[in-house]
Order: sequence, then structure tokens, then C-alpha cells
Amino acid sequence: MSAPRIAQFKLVLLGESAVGKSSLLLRFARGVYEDNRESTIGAAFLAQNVRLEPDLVVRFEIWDTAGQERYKALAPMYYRNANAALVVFDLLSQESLARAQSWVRELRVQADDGIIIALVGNKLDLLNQLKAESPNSSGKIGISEDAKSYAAEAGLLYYECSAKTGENIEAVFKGVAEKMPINEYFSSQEEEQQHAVDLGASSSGCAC
Amino acid sequence: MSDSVELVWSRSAVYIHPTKNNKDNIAGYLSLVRPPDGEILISWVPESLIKLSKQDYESYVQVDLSLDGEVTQKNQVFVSKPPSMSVGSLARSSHAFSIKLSDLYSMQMREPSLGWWYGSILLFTKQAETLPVLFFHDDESEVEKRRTKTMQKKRDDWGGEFFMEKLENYVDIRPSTLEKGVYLINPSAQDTLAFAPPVTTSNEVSGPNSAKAATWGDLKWNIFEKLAQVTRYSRKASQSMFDRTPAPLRSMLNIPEVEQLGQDFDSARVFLAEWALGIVQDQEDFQRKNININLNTYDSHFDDFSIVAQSIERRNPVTLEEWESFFDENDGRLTVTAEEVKERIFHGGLEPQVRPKAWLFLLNVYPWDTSAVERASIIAEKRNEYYRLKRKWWENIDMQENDSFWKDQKNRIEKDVLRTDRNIPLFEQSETPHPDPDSRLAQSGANPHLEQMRDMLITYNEYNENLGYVQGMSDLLSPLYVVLQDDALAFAAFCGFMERMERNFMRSQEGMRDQLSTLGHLTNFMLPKLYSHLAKADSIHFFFFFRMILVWFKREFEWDDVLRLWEVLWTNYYSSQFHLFIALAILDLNKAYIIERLHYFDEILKFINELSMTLDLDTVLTRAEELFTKFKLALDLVNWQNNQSEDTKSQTEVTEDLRMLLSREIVDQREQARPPGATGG
Repeated sequence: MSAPRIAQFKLVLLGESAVGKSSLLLRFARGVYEDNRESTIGAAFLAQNVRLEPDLVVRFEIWDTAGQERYKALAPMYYRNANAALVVFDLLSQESLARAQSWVRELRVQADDGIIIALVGNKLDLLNQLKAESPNSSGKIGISEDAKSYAAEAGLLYYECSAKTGENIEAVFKGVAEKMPINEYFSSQEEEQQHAVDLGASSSGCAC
Repeated sequence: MSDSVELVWSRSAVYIHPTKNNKDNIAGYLSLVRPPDGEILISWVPESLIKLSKQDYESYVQVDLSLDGEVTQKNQVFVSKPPSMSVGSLARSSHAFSIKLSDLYSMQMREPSLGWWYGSILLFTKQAETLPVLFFHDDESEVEKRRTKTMQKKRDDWGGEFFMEKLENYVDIRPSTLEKGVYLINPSAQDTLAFAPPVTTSNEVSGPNSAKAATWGDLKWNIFEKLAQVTRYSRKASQSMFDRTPAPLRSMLNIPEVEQLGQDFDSARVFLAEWALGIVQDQEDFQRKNININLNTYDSHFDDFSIVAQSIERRNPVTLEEWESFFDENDGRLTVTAEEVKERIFHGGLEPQVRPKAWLFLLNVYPWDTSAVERASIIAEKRNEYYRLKRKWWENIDMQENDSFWKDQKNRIEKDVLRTDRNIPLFEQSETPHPDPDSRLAQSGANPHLEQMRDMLITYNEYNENLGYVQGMSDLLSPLYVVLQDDALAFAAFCGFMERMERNFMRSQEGMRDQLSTLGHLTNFMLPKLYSHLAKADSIHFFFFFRMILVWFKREFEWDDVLRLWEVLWTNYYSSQFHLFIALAILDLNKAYIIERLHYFDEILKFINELSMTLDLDTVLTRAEELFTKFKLALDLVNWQNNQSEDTKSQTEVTEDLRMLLSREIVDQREQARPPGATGG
């Protein structure tokens, strides 16, 4: 079997502090979960593959950022040239959804036009647990409905998942991978190669 | 007696320390002897070897005990000729040596000090042989005991000085003006010019004409060459440095299969990186031991400057017994200088039992020049202060319920306390349920230490109103609380720590930017090749050091090492910004790998992040000290050269932020008042 084709894209994780960005990534990349994982300072970077077809792999270069307000000014460094952004919020926290919305607004203005944005609600396990504990509750539990309708209105991909149990994590990354401009990636690769060949040919014949 | 020599001067209780273990120390006699041909030798012979001949032993003892070890003309004493360096394996294994005075190039005197205890001297020959370091155990020397009894002994004198005094009768000894404690022996005119230049002020007509005529290039070469000779000294003289060869493993990294593997599998890349790191370290060790300098590489900077100006070693941590010996039994005042204590802590750190005592000094909770009574009253004051500050917000129900900024900050603090050092036993999950199920901290059960952490941080948020709480601070507080195990004292110590750390947390990020930029200048100055590589990799913003600088390497080292590193940094022994030299050392230790393998910012950030928990603290500290020593020397050389040159164009410019690195005063950068509407951190 020949080696699969690899298309490479840049993905950035954004969202309020302590919504579980690093945990989400850790679950996706390593399949593990740590309680009370330390906060991210600065940024972390790792690369992870998603196999879309037997001979096609999307390779994400993932930037995990610090969520704290004070370090917000540094974010453009990471979302610059990003092909995708996961804007993460806590399914039980209204404030974290508000923060997510402000990230989406910022990305729309500052990031690349073609950026694919997914709104990702984390801590689904907690939400399910709460629902199970009060099955007859008339009051609203969690903020799923608000988030879902916001995502639809703003044209965002929408997922709910749990880094703790692993539920739906694969789907998030796979869903985003499918939206990546894979054909453009390969054709621009070819163009670049062609360009390099042309340059090589012209430089040898150039007398200036 | 064809094989006998005249014993001119001798001193007992001069030891060599072949290993760090005291049990391996070897006692011997340092002597000046005159063979029949008349040229004086310096010799060191182990006592055990001397004792093989009863007659010899008596002679050595007699000369040692005579007034200052001196022998009068008419009263000559002869002993067997001491083994010379080239005698072969027998002499080598006994460590005995003798060298001609004319072969002695320079020597370095290290005065007795706290921690080293014994004064020592290092002898450097013109052939750059490796001679063992000689330690003067004056407390075991019979002649010193007699001098003490007869009140001849002065407070500061030591065996090494008597040796030098004696030596001056036979050779010209000139102190190097470039490096303290280094002396040139019978220096040539050229040596003197290069290495012991007259100290001049800029107004004075400087130096001999030849110095002016020489270009900086010539002079610098000359200086480096001399420096190399003077300091040729292997850090561990007793270890064989000849039988090591560099592992040729690095070339394997270029095999296509290995490369492919690295691209396909992330974990393989990590594995390769770590593996390569080991190789690089091996190679560097090798380089450092085989001090083989190509002066051509020093075209304009100090890269790969792999000679060490002084032998730098880590010492044992200060024990409780030693700590207590620093203080007067009666009034509890220091009987040594604060400087000496800081030097001791800088080089050895503290044993865990000493930390709760010493950290309060290091973090300015109380000054060094206080008595025990004064300290007790300061502690009482700080305790009152903390409870007063805490009560202020604790009792303010209105604020707790209605102030959204305050509520936000409390939320942030709780989120962070819940995920700060939870692997430390003190902060572990409690099985007992939390009394208030609505508290965010309830998920960790009833752990009072988490409550204390939260309260201290909320109190700080109120106390330093302009700055408030910012993420990262919980990382700085937690070691203080764990070590001191007292909320009020930990709070006071934290305030002391934050005096210098406030700049890291400013809304404008100005303090962080300044430090990353200074780190850039420092790297450019000290490791120019690496710097230009980083420039090509679009990384000279040095952002990959953000985490290390922000919380002082808290995430990079194991817990115990963090405590050690911080107490070292708190001494401000060389510089209040020594943490930048720690960063530089980490870069220096990894520069070969970075230059060869990493070409983009993301690769560099990932690599640097993943150094976490792989760094050996002692290696990093030793390298940082070496780099600081070189940095200071380099600045001195530049200053000297700039003074020599009247043409300002040919002067080397050094930015102000680099000069500031020599300062031991903390950099005072404070946050402005919080603008209305600004959120917390």
C-alpha cells in the first residue's frame, strides 16, 4: 500500500480559562484525561493526524492557548494564518459562552477570511449528570439551546463533547478536517513545486 | 646522595580532593625544593609516600614547623627527590607532582570562604598540564595551631598566602587586572600588556603606545589566547579526560529512514529529540574537557567560548546546623555578613529544614541585620497585617454580593487554585465532603489548604489593587505556602516575591516584553550563531520562553528543584535578573540541536516546551554561572577596549539593558491604576 497523501492545516484552540481546551486536546492526541490539569501558560503546540480516507490524512498543527484575559493580546500570534479554530466553552457556564462569542467576533474581523470556526461545548459528562439527577426539572439545565441557536445563526460548526469521557471528541476533529480545503492544499503544493522548478530553470539561464 | 634535593620550604595539611567525597581526600606536603642543578621546584607529595622514609618524614615535619616553614642557609635539610609529573603511573596514581618554577605560567588563589571552607590554589603550567587543586586544611596544620597560640595568626590569613609570599622570593608575581585572584608568574611583556593591562581612567593617557597601535582584533586575539592559557583547567581534574570519544550517533539522524520515521510519528520525533539531546550533551561535555580552542571562531563575539574562567562547582546545601552557626547564640544576629550567606545559598541552596527560616530573609519579610527579638516582633506585625487585610474583604458582604469585578476575580482564583500543584500531598483531594456544597472548591472535598490558598490570593487581589490577581500567581504562591505552612507568613513572603515579579503580570505585558527582549540581546551577544538561526526561524521575539520567565521555570523543573532554583535566584548574588542567565543556559545546552534540526517557530516552541522535566538543575545552574562569568568578562573587555580607543566608531556598543544585568537591585516595574471597565486577569 502506498503512503497516504497528507494535507496539513493549522488549528487554534481559543476560549475562556478552565473550559477544558488543553484537556480536549490531550484526549484527542493521547487518549487520556487528567483531573485538575494545570493551566496553560503561554502556548503549547502539537501535531496530530486525522485519517479521512484510507489514502488521505489531514494533519493538524494545533496551537493551544492560555485562556486568561490578561494574555488575550497574544492570541493573534496563534490564530494568524490558522485554517480552523475551535472556540471552546463550558456547557454549564453562561459566561464562557459569552467569551466564546467575543472570540468568534474577533476571529471574523482579524483572522483569515476562509477560517473554519467550530463552537465546541465541553463538559458534556457534567451536563448529562445534572440532567440525570433532576429528570423532572422544569428549569433549563445548561446552555445547550442558547449555544446551538447562536452557532446556527452565526454559521458555525457546533459540537458538544466531554474531554473527561472522550465522548464525541473524534467527531469534533473529524468534522473540522472534512471542512478543510484539501483540494486547494494539494493544488497549491503542486504549484509551488512547479514554481521551484521554474525558478531553478530560469536562474541557470539568467545572465543578470 | 645523588637523588636528594634541598627542602627550602614546606607545609603540611595541604590536601587534594580527588572526588567530592571527603573520605577520598589525600593529605600531603606542599614544598619548594632545590635540586642540585639549582632550579627550584614546586612539589606536592602525599604524606603516606613521605612516611615510607622515616628520615624524609622527620625532615618535612621539621621544615614545616620551623618559623613560617623557612630554613636558614646554614641549616640545610635534604630529602628524596619528589616524583615529577612525567615519572609515570606510580606517581600519577599517588597524585604526587613536581614542576619547575620556570614552567609555572599562572596561579589562581581561592580564599577560604563559607562553604568552600578551605582556601585553595590552582597552578597552571605553560604546557597546560592538569594539576590537582591544592586545598589548605589550615585547621589541621601544626604550624597554624602554634601561630594561633602565640597570637601571630591574623583573622584572614591562610596557608595559600604564605606559599605565595615564599614564592615571591624566587619569581615575579603579578596580579591580573582582568580577573580577581589570578596571578601571572614571570609574565612576558606581551603577557603583561594583554592580561594585566594598567587600570586607567578614560581621561588619562592610556597604556603603552604599542597597545594603542594594535587593532582591537589583534588585542582581542592576544587576550583570548592568554586567557586560554591562564585558565586552562579541567573542571574535574581527577577524572581521566583522555579516554572519551564523542559518540558518532548524531550522523544517524541523517539517515533517510530515521528521518521518515520522525515525520510520520510524533512520538518518534520526541524520542529522537531526546535521544539527540543526550548526544549533544555528551559532545559538549567532551568539548569542555578537551579544551581545544579555535581562536578563529571568535571573529566578533564570544560564541562557543568553551573555556571556563574559573572552576565552577555546585556545593552541598546548607544544613540546619550550618545555618544556625551563622547566628549569634545570644541575640540571634548574623555573625557573618549577609553577603557571605547569600554566596553560600547561591552555590549550594538550602536543606529543606532550613527553608522556612531562610526564605523569610530572602523574601524580605525581615532584614538580615535583625536580632531574634526584632524578628519575632516583625512576624507578629505581619500576622496582624494579614488578618486585618483578610478581614477587610471577608466582612464586606456588600462587595462579595454586588461587585462583579470582585466576583470575577474570586472565580478566577478558585479555578486556578483547583489546578495548582494538586500532585503535592498538601493539596490532594480530600475524602471528607466540603461543608459548603455550593463552593467551587467543594469538588475537591474539605481541604483547608486550598481554602488558605484562595484566601491569600483574594487578599493579595485586594492588597495590590492596581495589579490584582493574574493567572500564574497561584504557581508562585504555592511553593511558599507549602514550605512555610503558615498562611500569614506565606502571604508576607509572597508580597516580597511579588515586588520583583509584578513586572511579569502587567496589563500592557511591558515587563514580559522587556525581559524577552533583553534575553534576545543577551543571546545575540553571547550566542550569536544561535541568535542568527533564531532570526531565520522567525523566533527572535523569544516567545517560546514566555512560560519560563513568567513563573520562573516552575513548570520546567521538578518540585524540589523549583525550590532550589528560586532560593538561588532570590539571593541576587550576581544579578537580580539571573533568571535570564538560566534561560540562556538552557538555550546554550540545546543550541546544537536547535540549530541543526529546528527551523520554524512552532518547532522551537514545541521543543522548548517539551524540555520540561528533562532538565538537570545542577547542570543548568553551573552553565548559567559560567555564562554570567563570561558575560561579565566580555563586558569588562569591551569597556577596556572602548577606553583605549578614541575613535568612537570603532567602539563596541553594548545596550543599556545588558549593562543592567550586572545590577543586583531588583527591577522595579509597577502596574498602573486599573482603568475603569478593565477586567481582571
